[in-house]
Amino acid sequence: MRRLRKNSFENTSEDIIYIYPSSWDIQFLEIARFLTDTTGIRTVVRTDFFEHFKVDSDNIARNFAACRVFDIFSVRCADVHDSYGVLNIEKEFIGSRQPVYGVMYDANMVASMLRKIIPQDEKKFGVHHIVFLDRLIGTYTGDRYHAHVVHCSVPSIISTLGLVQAPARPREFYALRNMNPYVPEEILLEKFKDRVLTYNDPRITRIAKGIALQTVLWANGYYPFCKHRTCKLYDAHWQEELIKSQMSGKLCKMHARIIKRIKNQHK
Amino acid sequence: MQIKLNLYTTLILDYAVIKMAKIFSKASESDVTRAIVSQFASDMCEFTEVDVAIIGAGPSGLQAASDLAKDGIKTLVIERNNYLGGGFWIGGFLMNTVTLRDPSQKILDEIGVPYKEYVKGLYITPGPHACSKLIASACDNGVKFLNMAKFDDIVLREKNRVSGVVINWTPVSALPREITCVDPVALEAKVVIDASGHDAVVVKKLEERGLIKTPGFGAMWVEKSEDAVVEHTGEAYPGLIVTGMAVSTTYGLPRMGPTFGSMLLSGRKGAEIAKKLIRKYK
Repeated sequence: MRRLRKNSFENTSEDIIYIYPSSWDIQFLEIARFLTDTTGIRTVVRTDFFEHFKVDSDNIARNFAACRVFDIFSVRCADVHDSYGVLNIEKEFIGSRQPVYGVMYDANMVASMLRKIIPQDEKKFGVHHIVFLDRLIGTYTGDRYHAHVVHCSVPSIISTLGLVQAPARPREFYALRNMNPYVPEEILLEKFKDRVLTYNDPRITRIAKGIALQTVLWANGYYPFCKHRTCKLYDAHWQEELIKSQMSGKLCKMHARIIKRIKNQHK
Repeated sequence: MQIKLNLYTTLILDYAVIKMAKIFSKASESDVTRAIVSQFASDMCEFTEVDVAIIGAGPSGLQAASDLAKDGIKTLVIERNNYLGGGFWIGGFLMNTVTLRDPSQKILDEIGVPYKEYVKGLYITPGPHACSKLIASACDNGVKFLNMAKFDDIVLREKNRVSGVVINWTPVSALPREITCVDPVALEAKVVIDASGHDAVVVKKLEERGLIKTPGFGAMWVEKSEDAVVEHTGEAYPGLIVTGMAVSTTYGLPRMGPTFGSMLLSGRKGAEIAKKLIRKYK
């Protein structure tokens, strides 16, 4: 297994994971328990990221405005961060703590913005922050921006909207949507309910556990994704694959060994 | 006998003429012209200063105007076409069935338009019925319309706040400049609403002056695009609110199909924001 970097703080008892919940109905305490049981690392659920660090909403609104992707085929984010309207809307979103639909944010820029908010004493090896964000994030990879479920960084970001929107839905769904463009998507999704995730889907907590585990692997210096379709760490590009891999709740042999190793380090 | 008949016929004709004259009261050509000019001039004088000036009489503009006027706010809608309603008369592909998604059908309930549920959460209604009732509701609430008038420019006041619009007759812009060198007129407004659809004419005018940057509407992230339009409805520049598809152009949101729910709800949200701004800019 590829090891990304050496964690100089291995075997310390100070290792901790902070989870910052979102407005979605996800059982964050359950995710925390799962991470602690699986990896042996103490996991704490905090309040919403911006509330916890009591950030100035005007400043955050300005930063989020700058992170907006206005053209998915262009690597450059639109230079509208000083636009009065965009700032107003971003302030409203921060105030309401509601999901932001229809907009993609540059994951690297968002992570960089969040990183600046985290105090220096919490920005060290052994402390891993996982922020659940109700916004769609993506990175530019050669041809266009691609939406992601997770962005492993300091802090790691799990996009709740990305869980529903980023992995592709079954091909039949898109064919059906093209044939019925004006039928509400929720109606079409009913037909595929076992094969796709919907907003506030009850399975999301279980699926988010595996995604959070990917970030923990990354924070411990391992490559976070697996190529085995049945492994909980599988890097799924289709929703069907994501549901199957996460609902199985199993790890492949190699990742089971790695997780065991991490757990032993934190005993 | 023949004389008697002729006399009888003459009497009947005389009676018919008298009767016809009674259907419409007497009015000379000059009276008609004077009535049009004086009333229009009086309206124009009254509406040179308004609380809210709305550019575009599409569904979002009409809904915003209707809600504002209902609360006694002096509202003027400027429409470049002769007809009001924008694209609300027809759905997609020139077919006049319009679709709305839950919860926007509640607005149809308010204005008394029948509709039926096509599939769960998707409602259909005849475009002419919905559009005419929306126009009627706006008129009933006291909205004033200036149709065949085109937005030409913005009025900017202290701190670059939008505080009015410059307008001209639509035909002026359609004819060669050499024969239509007609200066426009300006109207003052506490708040201006850009409800001009994808063109977003007011926002574009601000962009021309380097006061705002717009990415234009795009096929960015299609899911939940209706939600995004309603959520982004708001004050895009001091004194200027954007509603409807102008929101997409201003913020680079995805383009949508012919579903009108977000247009109505965006108009309603725009009206709520305008009420707050009127108090703020008093």
